[in-house]
Amino acid sequence: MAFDKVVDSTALDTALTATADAIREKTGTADPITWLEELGFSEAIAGISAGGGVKIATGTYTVASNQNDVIIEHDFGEIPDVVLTWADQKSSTQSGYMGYMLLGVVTPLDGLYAWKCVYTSGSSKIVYSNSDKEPGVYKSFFSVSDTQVGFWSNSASSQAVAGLLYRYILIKGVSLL
Amino acid sequence: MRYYAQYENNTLIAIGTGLGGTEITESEYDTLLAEIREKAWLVDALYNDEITLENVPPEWQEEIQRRVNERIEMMGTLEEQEISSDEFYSMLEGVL
Repeated sequence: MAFDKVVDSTALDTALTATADAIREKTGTADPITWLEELGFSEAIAGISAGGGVKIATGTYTVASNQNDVIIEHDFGEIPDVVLTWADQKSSTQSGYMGYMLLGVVTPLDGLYAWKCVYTSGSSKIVYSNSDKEPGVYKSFFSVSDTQVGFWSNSASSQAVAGLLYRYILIKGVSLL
Repeated sequence: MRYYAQYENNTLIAIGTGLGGTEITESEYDTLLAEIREKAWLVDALYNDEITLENVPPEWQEEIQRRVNERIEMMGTLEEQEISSDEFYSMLEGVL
């Protein structure tokens, strides 16, 4: 141990308190933070999530034949806040939402998840799905879990169309509400 | 970029990019995409009476005919399939 520097203890205490306050603000706590002799505040700083916690996943899917069910997998480990998926072009055969669609998921509302379905005709509709059901269990237009997003159709006019390129964006950590 | 193919009972269900399915190469993805689109066009054309089954490659005829039959079963014939927006919204309501 070397004692070879002279510091202003008041200024040092002020700086350490300011650093601890900044860490508490980032972590959303008011708990005391321990200054470790060898590590300083490094352990507390290492516990702060990088990038504000926003997760984004993008991808595409193309079904081989018209499908009632479509599953998108993700590795968020939690339910996405926003899901957007759309077809690159209008289907020549399908008039339903999977024929030419732009869908936006919104965050939970009293245990339900709301979809805003926007059609290229300009009309739109909000539909709901039970949030505590895994994809594939609840027959509705969509379902979400911490690993998957699923879409379902109950009619031929709403199936995912073979050969169309569908794109999707999943986001966690933001809210549109 | 990760490319994948999704199979069910040895039948190709979907291809895509991102997570899911079995990872394939970009070249394999391109080949499968071209085949999917060609078959989709053949199904549309046969359903719309623009071609006959003889125009379909022999190795695909059974699959294409089956998919056309499935579409007729679900959607009716071409003349029967028109639906209004009111009918579509009614279908939406039916599952909510």
